Amino acid sequence: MTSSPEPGTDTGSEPVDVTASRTVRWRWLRSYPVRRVLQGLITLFVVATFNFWLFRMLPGDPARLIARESRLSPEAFEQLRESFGLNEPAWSQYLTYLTKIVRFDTGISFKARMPVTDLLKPALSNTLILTGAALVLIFVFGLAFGIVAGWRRGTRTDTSLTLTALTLWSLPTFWVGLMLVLLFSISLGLLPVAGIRSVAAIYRTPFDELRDVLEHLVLPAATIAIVSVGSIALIMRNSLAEVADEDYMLAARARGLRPRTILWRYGVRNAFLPTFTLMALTLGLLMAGTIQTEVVFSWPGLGLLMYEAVQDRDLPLLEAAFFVIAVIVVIATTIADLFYSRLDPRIRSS
Amino acid sequence: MSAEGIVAEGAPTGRDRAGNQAPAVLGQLWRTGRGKIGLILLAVFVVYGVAGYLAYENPPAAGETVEDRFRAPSVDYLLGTDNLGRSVWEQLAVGAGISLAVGVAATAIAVLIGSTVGITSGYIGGRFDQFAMGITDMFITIPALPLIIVLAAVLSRGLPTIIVVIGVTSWAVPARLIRAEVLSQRERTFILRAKAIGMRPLQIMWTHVLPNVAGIVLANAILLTAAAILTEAVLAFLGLGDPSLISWGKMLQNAFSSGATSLGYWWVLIPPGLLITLLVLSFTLVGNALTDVIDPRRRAE
Repeated sequence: MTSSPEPGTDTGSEPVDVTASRTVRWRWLRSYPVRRVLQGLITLFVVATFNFWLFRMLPGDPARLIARESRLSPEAFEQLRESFGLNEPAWSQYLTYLTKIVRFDTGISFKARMPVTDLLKPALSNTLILTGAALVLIFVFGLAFGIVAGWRRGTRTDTSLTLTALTLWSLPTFWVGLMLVLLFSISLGLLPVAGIRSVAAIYRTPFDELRDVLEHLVLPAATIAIVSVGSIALIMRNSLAEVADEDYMLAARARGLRPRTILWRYGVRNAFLPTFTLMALTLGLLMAGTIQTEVVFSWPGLGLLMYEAVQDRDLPLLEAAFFVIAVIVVIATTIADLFYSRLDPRIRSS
Repeated sequence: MSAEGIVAEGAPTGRDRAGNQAPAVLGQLWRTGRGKIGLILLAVFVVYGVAGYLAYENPPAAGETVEDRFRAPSVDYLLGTDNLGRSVWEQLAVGAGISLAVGVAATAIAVLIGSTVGITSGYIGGRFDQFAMGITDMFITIPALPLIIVLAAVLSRGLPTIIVVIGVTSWAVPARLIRAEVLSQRERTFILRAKAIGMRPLQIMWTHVLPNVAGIVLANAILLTAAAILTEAVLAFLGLGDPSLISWGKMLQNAFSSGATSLGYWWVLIPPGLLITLLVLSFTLVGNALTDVIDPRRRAE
């Protein structure tokens, strides 16, 4: 923690330098997409730097941490220090670390004794499957509820939908998962308790496998969606409510257009843009939900990997899983921002 | 924005405005249905938390025999016992105080950092503002929970660690909000007047800018508290909480890791989560209603 302002000072000045360059040759650097991508890269650089300092410099060093966990002999301890390059000066360790990250070499897991990358790859795709499924649910239901509440602003429907949304937001994600398991898997016996596939399953066709995975996917995806759907609905409701006061809405009404046409062609279309940006901002929150859900359902993704890394004090794995999650979120928010800026030119000029 | 256009508005001085508004805001808050439910719930939880802290030890004593484990609710044990034979009822009561304490303390840290960054950044402006907001945006982008997990896993386990870790990772959104508010206040008459009579920047920020952003800071702080309580529960559930204390998240961790879900022992699973939800909801309702009261544009009319 003490080190985090330091890397910030290094990097924060970079965008200023870029915008300050006045030669025409470098003008493209000031265009919005370039600035935005650069900002994302700087964020990742800061995360990597933070990781380095936190794990290597803070509580003793990793060798001592492992030694404390597993009672190593002095010789083994020295060997461990050597293998981490801990006898070299800090800045050279740091440079080595950064070049390794660029080459996707994130070290060896303490627990599994294999390259962290080999553990991350399958976990990453499993997490993306889960998050993707949850996103579809959130999108469909969140927008639908938001449109209904925003269009019937001030009515009882609106009030009760707003209250429901706030309640859903207040639910601890992991507990929703536990409750769904208790209800649908234990009491009703409808859906599997945990995992991504049935244990020792033999699939006759790829279709069988797909069905099995989908059955395992239902509850975890629903868990994430239930908690996040409320905030998306509220965002959509509020931006629709803001749009409703615009002049073009009044004009549309004055022209005698049907309410349904006004809602969809003028209201929802214009309210969707701000909703979309804010949704991108909640991606970090979505990852939080995913981590908890993966733990509850033993879904073999990045969140479960992080959880296991915490349990085993497997620092290289913990660090790498955190970095990959940061990469996902930074890439996703960058894409969303770029997409948004193409659709709404006002962003680019600001 | 030119200052001349706003001069005619004749804004009162900062302190007067904030001072007179407080009772009125509370009244308006009470009149919103959400605000009333939230405030009542909140009061109940505060009483419950204090009573639980005074009445029971944390952690409650374990059961004496193996038969005490996972007892179903009965007259002796209103809500049954957990995997170590500890009364669920007592654990719930001692957990309330932990949730409240962590929520409020972590928020205090976040608001302190957030207002310092937001006010100075918005007031000074220029390159400093660009730089400070660059860092703030970075903190908004970096996914909070993974960062919190990493910090909590590496630092020593304990309640102070959790409070600090949640606090230092959640100041970015309030900083942004407060900065936006300060920017809209900066060119107002009373600030310009204060500048004209030669008040120093720090003095102006303290006496004029701060009281005017207090409302939005408070509303946001209440919502932050809700989020902090949720985060504490998650950390405890993931086994990153204070190992020597019982909290609601810790109760759910005990239940989950001892297989209560598969055994269908609902009494160790439902009550803690329900209380977390209600406590978080009470803060959410008050915070949400307060935001609407302060910023009438968003009010559902």
